[in-house]
Amino acid sequence: MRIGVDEAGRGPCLGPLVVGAFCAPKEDASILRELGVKDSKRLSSVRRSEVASRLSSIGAERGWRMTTILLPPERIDVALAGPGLNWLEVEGFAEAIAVVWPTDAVPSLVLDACDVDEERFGHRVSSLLRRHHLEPEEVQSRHGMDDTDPHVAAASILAKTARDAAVDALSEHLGVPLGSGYPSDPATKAALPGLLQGPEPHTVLRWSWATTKRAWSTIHAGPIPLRTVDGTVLQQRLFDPPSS
Amino acid sequence: MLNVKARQELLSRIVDTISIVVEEARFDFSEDGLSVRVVDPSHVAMVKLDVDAVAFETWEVEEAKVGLEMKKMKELISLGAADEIISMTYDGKGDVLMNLGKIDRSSRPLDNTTLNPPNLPNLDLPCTVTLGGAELSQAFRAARQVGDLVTLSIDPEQFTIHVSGPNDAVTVAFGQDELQAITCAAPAKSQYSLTYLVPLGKIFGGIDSVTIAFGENFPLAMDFNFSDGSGSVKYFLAPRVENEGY
Repeated sequence: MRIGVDEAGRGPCLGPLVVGAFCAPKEDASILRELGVKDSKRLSSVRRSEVASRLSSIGAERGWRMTTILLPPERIDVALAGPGLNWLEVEGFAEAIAVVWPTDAVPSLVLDACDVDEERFGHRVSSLLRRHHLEPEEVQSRHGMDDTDPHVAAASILAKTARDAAVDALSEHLGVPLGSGYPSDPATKAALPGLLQGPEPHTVLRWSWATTKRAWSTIHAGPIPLRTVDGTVLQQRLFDPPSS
Repeated sequence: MLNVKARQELLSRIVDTISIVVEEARFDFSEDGLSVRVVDPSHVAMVKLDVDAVAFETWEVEEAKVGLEMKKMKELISLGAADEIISMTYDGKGDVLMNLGKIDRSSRPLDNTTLNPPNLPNLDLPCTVTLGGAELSQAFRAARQVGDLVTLSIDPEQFTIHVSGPNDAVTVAFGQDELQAITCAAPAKSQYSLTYLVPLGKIFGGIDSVTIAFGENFPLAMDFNFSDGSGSVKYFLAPRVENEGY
């Protein structure tokens, strides 16, 4: 068995970071190729959803295991204030792998590395899995695996589809199109001020992102509040600035 | 009007201290010495720095207020060794001239009128603790490895620095006998951002005695001296307070 893992939504200033994991026999790579599984970035969003739903329907017949783990903005902010985003990704990867771990075989892992140091990333994921007594046969951790390995490409499609669905659901819930979450996206740019009106930024935002902080400072005088394990903390000020 | 000479290490300490809070500052020179008061743009941290004239190698000053850019001063300072002499002259108009060995650097001073020094907050802080700068600086750095939000807590017997992260926590506790002094009218606990405190630790890391005063959800005030007591720094930092909801 082979487990491919990839993430989506690391860069944007809003919505969850999603880790996808896909577990299937090694020899099913040819079936995946026939399905049109390739790097999620090279598929249109419509095509991506189609492939994702076929993965799930064919997977149900063939016993493939797949999951997506959503890491919400709050968890991202807390991680960034402490151990860093790379560690959060290590946790997300390990969680996703544990969910799809096969009951009757020892799988090998193929990870699309998030860390600049590919090998370190693989070691960190393995050592976290070992704590749950999960010992893979082999771990490959490389950049750009979503382009070359069909199992990783499948995970990449699952992650990207789930990320898009999550942002669409948030947009619908808020009644405002949120866009991609990148500052260059006009929809994101237009949505930000409305999400920053209250005494705290909206929960869908990543408060520690430069984009969010910049937008916050155009509306509020003080620094942006901080998310911690114990909830939100507001930075008090020594005194109010002179009114201008 | 202004002719001042200082060892590089003194000027470096002055500029590094001010740089923690602002990039531009008004330096107030008087017969007695140098005084600088600055607050960061979001009004969270403030520094008051005073250096007596005796700390300088040469001090020929009629009162002058000069707006200076810390980055430019740092650039010149970075070229010298600790015991080299840097001079600064200014005749009240035109450029500020700085010299280090063969190097002359002239810079246009900043417009003074936009650099108004803040008034100091008037605080009555119930708890005070004094300890070594190296220990305190190390405690802040240890805390920063786990998170940004540090909790300082104090009772008459103990002063504690604590941070909780998602998976880790750091606690540094100092008992009464490990401290140079402790006074505590009532036990207190307050949170501050290490983004502000850790850089300050680089400044007081080599200082024998640093005094911290704070109270429950009150600003923190920190005091220390340098150059055999002829220089003093007073630092204020607003707390972070848990959001009670709205």
